[in-house]
Amino acid sequence: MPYANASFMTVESKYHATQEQILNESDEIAAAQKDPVKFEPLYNRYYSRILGFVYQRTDSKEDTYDITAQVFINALESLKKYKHQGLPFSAWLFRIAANELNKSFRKNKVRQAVNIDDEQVSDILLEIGEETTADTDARLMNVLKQLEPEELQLVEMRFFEKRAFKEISEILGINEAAVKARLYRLLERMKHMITKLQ
Amino acid sequence: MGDLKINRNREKLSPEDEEKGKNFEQVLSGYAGRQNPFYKTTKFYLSVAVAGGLIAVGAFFLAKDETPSVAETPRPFIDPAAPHLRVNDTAFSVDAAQGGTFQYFNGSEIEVPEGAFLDKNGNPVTGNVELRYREFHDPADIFLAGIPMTYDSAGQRRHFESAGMIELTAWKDGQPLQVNPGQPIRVKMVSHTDEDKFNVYYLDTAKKNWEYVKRDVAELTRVEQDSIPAQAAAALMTEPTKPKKANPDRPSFVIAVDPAEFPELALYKGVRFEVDVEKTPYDPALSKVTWDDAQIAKHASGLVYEVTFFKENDVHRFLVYAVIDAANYEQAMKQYADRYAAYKELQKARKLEEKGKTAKLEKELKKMDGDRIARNFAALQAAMASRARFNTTSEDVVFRVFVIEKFGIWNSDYPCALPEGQEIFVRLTNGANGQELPVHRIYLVEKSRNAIFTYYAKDLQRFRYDPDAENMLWCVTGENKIAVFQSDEFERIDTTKKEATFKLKVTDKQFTNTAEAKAFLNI
Repeated sequence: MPYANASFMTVESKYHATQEQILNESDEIAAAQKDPVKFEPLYNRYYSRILGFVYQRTDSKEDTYDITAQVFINALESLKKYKHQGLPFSAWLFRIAANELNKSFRKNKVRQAVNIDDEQVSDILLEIGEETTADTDARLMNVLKQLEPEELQLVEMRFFEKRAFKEISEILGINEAAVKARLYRLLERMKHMITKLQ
Repeated sequence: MGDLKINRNREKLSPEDEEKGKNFEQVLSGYAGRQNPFYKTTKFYLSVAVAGGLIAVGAFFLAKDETPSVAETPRPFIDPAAPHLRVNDTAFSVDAAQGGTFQYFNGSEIEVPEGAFLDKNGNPVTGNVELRYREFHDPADIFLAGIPMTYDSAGQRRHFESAGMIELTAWKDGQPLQVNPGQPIRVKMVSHTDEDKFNVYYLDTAKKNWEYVKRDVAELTRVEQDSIPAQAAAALMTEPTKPKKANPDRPSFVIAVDPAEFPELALYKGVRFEVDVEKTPYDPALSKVTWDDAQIAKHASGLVYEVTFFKENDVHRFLVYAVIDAANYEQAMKQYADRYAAYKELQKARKLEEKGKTAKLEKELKKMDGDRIARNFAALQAAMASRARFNTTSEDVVFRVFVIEKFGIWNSDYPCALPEGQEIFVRLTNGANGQELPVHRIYLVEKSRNAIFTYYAKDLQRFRYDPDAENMLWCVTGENKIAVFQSDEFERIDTTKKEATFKLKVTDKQFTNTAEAKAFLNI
């Protein structure tokens, strides 16, 4: 079972911020806490990433635009309470985005979607030790529909968005080891579900 | 996760897609809309305490104070320049249990679901409800109706550029009603622009600010030529003819005419045809004949027709004027005034749209040097093609949709800063007598933009305007008279000086309809 060593595939996150970037950003955050207009550089920096995060989880561009705007409005509203705790500002924004998405799904305002390409399907199937065939592909789609929201979130972040464990742990607010353990258990469960569907 | 949708190999967002949704102003607006009103904050209570002390001290020293100046006199939040005019107002009667779809004169639609109304206690309303609806599409509509056009966005005052505004209220037995939150009313407003930069705002009269609702998306709908809105719009593009009162001393008769063929006559009740006895002699004995057939044809502009009566080989032709009988004349004049206002409205909206698009394109081109023109050529070509498409397909109508969960005023607007360019110290005087003209606020209008910029009296020390634009200034004087400073006078301002005196034209006239007021405002 290739996933058993819990190292998984090597992922270089394109999202992760360096410590230097985090520190430089704290001045901008402090300025924005005093004057909302000064939030603009942060908005410009993270807009595309939040937009992409939302688009990955929704079905329409219009919903994506609306939710993304709400995410930044929520962020601006909560900014006064924001305290730098060594974590990237982006992780805080992604957490707000995840909450806003969940709220929209719960209220049936927006249809939840998973956007996946063929390569990502192969990656997951490889990770759980299955060949990629039309049959396993179809079964994986079925399995994705049966996952709990938190489980799907984990799969999306790790396999669709190729985020590093460290970044996932920052967004979810849990430690890195716990992320690995959860993902390991999840992949096992997914394998079991796929086999059961045979 | 039952409702999860899985999309395979979906196209990624393009840079253009990303750019389309990027709007920091919208974020600021949304943030400002959620802030507590100032009166609920701790700062307010402290301010009240301090202000209370100051007022007490002030009252002691200013015991002999005079009446406050016009600039200091508080004005209503919604402050119509012409309070007696209900700008573009229409009423519909709706059966609350059934709902229905209603059309405004320009093709806008109001969709009322069943059970859409609640009374002040939250109980469902039954029976007929009066739905009052109006739209505001240009600065004159807004000025005359007194709708505030400033927006406090995160502590910064912004000014609205508008893609259209609506007011919707409902009444039963003289009492205002509420919208049933589970059954919102949907309004599809015809808009003059298909630009994507606008947001939806609701006017919160309690907080005295606009509340950001959502980003607005224009809907382009192809309206069939024979559909009612297209017909209505086509009819409105023709200038209506003023009705003439019937002269009881002249012979006249009634003929049933096809309203589709003579829409100008269908507008009025009590239409008769009065014979022009000077041009076509008339024998009173003819009135006793029962004719086999009659034909009517338009003879000249205005309500002049030629009517031909047939009986076997006997043919009589008369030149006639369509006139309105005395009982219906007053009503006909009102209808004419409304229709004329609507006609002027459409003309102006069309001109504004053309002008705005041309001015914007010219401005874009002006800003570019040779290299940039080359680099942006493709984009400009695409933009021009899109505009040409929009202009030539007259059957394409732009709609903006409001989901009404609260009655009141809603807009599709874009908050912008004051114009850049010239900054001067302004003094306002009455052009007729040279006396200083005290005002509470003034409105700067740029003819090429559907925007209205509000300056308060204290702002006149730093009045900013774009000298390259066609500007106008409107205000209401302390005596509630409308005053204007026209675009040609703006052009005569000496831009090398830091001060200017605007000699305003003040009118005593009580306008009887919107068209008349707009003619004075020159828009």
